[in-house]
Amino acid sequence: MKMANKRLKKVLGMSIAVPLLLSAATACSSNSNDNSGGQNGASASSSASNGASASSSAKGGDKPEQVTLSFLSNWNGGGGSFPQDQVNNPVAQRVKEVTGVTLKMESITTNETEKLNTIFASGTVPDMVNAPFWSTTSGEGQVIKKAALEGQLLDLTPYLDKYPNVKKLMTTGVAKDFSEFEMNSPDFQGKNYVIPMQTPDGSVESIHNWNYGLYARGDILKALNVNPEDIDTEDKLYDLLVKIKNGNFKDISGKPVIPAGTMHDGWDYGQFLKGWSDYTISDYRQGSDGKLQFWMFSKDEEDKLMYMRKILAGGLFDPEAFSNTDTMANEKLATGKLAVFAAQDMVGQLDKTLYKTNPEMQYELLGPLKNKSGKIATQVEKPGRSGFPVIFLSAKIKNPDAALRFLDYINSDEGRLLAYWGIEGKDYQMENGKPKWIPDVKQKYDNDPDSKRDAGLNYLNANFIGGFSSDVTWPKSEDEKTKAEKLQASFSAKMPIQVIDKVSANYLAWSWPKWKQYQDATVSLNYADEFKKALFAKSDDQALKILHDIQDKYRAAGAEEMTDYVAQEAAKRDDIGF
Amino acid sequence: MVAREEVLPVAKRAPKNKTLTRIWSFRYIYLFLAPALIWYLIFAYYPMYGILIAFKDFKYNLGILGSPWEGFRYFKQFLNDSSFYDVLRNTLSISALKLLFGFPAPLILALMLNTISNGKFKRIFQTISYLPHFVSWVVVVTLLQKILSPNVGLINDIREHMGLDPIFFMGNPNLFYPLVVLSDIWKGVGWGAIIYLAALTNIDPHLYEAAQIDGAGRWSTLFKITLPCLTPTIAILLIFSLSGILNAGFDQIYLMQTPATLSVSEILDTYVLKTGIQQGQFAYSTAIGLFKSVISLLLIVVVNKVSKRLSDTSLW
Repeated sequence: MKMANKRLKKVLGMSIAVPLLLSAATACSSNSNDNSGGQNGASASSSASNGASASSSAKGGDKPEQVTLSFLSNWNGGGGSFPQDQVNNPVAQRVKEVTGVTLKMESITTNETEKLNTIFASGTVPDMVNAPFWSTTSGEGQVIKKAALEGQLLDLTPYLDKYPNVKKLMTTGVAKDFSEFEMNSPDFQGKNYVIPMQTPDGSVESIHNWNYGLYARGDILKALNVNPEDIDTEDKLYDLLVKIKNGNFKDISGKPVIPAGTMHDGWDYGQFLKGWSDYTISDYRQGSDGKLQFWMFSKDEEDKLMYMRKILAGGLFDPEAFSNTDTMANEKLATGKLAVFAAQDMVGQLDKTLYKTNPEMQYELLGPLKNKSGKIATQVEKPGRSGFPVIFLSAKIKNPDAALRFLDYINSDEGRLLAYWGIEGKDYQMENGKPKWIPDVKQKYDNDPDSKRDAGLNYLNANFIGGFSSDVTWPKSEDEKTKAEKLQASFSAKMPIQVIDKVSANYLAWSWPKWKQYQDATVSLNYADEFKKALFAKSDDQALKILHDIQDKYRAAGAEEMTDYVAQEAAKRDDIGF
Repeated sequence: MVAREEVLPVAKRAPKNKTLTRIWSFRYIYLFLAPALIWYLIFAYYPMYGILIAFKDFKYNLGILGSPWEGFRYFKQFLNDSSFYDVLRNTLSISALKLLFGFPAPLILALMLNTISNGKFKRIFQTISYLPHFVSWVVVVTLLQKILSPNVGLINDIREHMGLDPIFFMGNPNLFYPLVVLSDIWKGVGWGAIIYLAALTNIDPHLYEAAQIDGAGRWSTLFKITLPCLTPTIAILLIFSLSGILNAGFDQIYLMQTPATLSVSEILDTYVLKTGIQQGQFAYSTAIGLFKSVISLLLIVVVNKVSKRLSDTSLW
């Protein structure tokens, strides 16, 4: 009996302990399985060395080698354009047929810089990444540059001649100064690491208007008998918000509206402060006395701070705006909770939600506000774009040719048609050399935008196309435009883009002898966070102290000396813009 | 103890060493430790070499071992950082408040539960009290945001019905610490009470019987028998709490933080995340992390020594 008990204990003990041990072991090894899967994919791709153009393969040449590439859209919420079935949708199938490439796509719902730092530090860079590249001196661009210089990115230079469409992307629609100082910085020693995306085709008409502005609920404006175009100064805006607060307006669930707010994380509360803006392309402001000043030392910063504090304290601005998650912001948008919001027009989202349930609430563009010079506050651009999403390839990619073949094809005439219009005969037909939607399909996509996404019609143009404007290439007649498109076009028409064909004064500072020292001293300073902190300070004095403290830190780092240097250098040239 | 020795199975080919003999005898029981040991080795010990980054100019291509040495540069940088005192003050304030209010809470709950004589009610109450422990901070903070929202929150809805102005609870620096401490207690009090309840069951019932015969009341039983018997448990838990005083609770604070409360909510851990992972200053943030660990280690040694001297209770 004793022996039997002992045996039973032994068996029971083993039966519990071994699975526990195994589960721990398998948990540890699951990564390596994934890796080996990845490596299999990679090794499959590594044997491909086909440099022949994708189009020629498609036109009856050899079937291109089948390759699976991992792709990361390094944008918070960047997966919104991905079809539910990444592999079997008609567009992906066609891409695979022509280029042999199957994409394994992922995106993030966190901070972009954080993710970049993580993939570079841990050596887990996907084959292909699309990430923000606004500047090489801060944020994501700075991380990408560091990674490039430290061997994490593939040098694309030797490949470019083989892929003419990709080569064209390196210059098309890129601002001259951005190209010279950022993309082709001497630090890169002539190597090319990033491919610009979402750049215009080189014409002014093709520069995308993002429709940043202030949008107010139409029914509220009507009830208040306010003409939206009349709201063109900060004072008038304030008065409007007060009227909204006192007007006892409700959202669709019958709860009081918030007079003013933003999308996630306070994006873009700066639209409420456009009255202090000007047409600028640099961090330096020229005073009326002609003296140059670093932007954050301007008296305007105090005025902007006080204005925001006033609307916050008066219950006119959503105190939650700066901690809004994307979900919270979308909920507010979908329920008409925000009487006025500052961001892009958000028509895409509103069309699926609020405009379906409560079309009378349709938002209207306020103003636009007048800037300091009395002109409308609008998007300012150089002839090319400065700062854009870029695609880079991992230095460890097994088959760079497959990735470049894919990009080359997507940026060909045929590839763009596929990206924007889908499959000929199924989604569109060519009429007089121009694509036209098949009416039933168009209706289906208009009624259910997600079905368009799942047919694969959003992810290619959102992630892999540059040097191009669909509006310029395939201009739509008024009849062809959806209601949403007409609405967006009407907003753009009220805020025409201002083009400044100059070199940004920012780049002059790069040759300042203390530039590196200045960068090191300011890398951990965060003006935007301190400004937000000041918005919520107990008193105006405390708010100003927070503002002055952060300004002093930049002064101590040498910002004023740097500005003097920039002024001296700018005086030597006539192509510098502030 | 002797009785247990007698029933020990005599293992074949058992090692000569006495400890190893015992381990071998209880090998199946020890096997249960394996997953935890493996976890510690992989996730706690193996990554430890990463602290070298604190002394290096970390380069992606050279890795941790290959990057050039920088000495104590990042430690000096942190001590001279203008945020240093704010971050340290916030960390210590939050930890001290949690210790002051959060540490006695489970003890009080355990003592209260111990006085409940209805076993069924006691079990139900205890289960309900420790359930929040299993809810992640993400959920807890989201719930808080929803309940306390100035726009759609329940509390502010009630205030508005009473004709009062809404309050932005999560964005008020004065309310940040109370919210942190209260939510921390709500989440952890039931779970923390389990250890005390276990210790309470170990108190010899004869002591209570003797006290009852001597005519001791509830309070004198509590102060003369229960608390003295719990002192070793309290001391051990206090040692752990004090050594973790620089851990103010990353998940909770990071999620509850808003720009409006940054001045009181930026703690060492959130600062490390922002400078390290978000700004890519890995060496600098590792130096801050290491600074924190060294202080914690010193604290645990000192507190342990003090506890040993005062109450004869210690970790080692």
